[in-house]
Amino acid sequence: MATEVDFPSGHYIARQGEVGSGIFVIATGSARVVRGDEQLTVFGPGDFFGELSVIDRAPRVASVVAAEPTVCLAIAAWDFLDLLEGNPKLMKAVLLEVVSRLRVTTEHIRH
Amino acid sequence: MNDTNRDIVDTLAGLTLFGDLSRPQLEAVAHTFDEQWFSEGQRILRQGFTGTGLYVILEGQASVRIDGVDRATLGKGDFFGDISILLGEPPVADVVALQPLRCLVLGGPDTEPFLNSYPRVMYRMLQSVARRLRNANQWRS
Repeated sequence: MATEVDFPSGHYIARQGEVGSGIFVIATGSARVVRGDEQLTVFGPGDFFGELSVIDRAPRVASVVAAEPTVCLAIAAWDFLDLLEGNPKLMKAVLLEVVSRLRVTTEHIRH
Repeated sequence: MNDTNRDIVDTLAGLTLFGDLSRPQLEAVAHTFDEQWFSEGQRILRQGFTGTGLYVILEGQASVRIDGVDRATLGKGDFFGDISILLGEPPVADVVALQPLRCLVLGGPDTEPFLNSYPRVMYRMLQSVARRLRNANQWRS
């Protein structure tokens, strides 16, 4: 179901503004999350991204750029949705991750 | 089933969160949640304090206030309390009734088992939370 994809340092893994065709899980390496000129965070092995756009079918809110040679597991949108529906535990894990991000974002609004 | 329950089931059937459920499932949901009314101006969630449950609005409107600033208005079909229930942390915002508000409420400890029993509700919740995160990101920029 997942395809391994190599990204050289500096290459875009996901682009802000595009509707996502799938989600990515970092296997090795790291990637910078940027919106405009601002770096929001850095993802490392085990982190996943791209799920927001797949879930709500709207454009990606940030770009993700390989910070070094990085290997990702890519899962197509339709496979990801099937995977979630068949695995409530996985869905809960994704829900908790999205809720955590919402909480952090809301905390930022206050400062 | 009494009239009140039938009324609630009819209302639930029209909400996106429960849109994928069958009539018997909706009836089970109506039994699982408690109905609560709040008066205009009443604070239902308090920023920084313990969250008490998952609230689904059946009628009325409520405001999401962060540090006293209104950030969003919630209406019929919207839910709140999910962040603090799921993460076990205090609410990040006040939620205040803008008019008489009718809600269905599920106690905190019951929320996870409920979502596990209804994966399609969990998926709808996930979609909604994803949209909120997108909107919250726009507030920042």
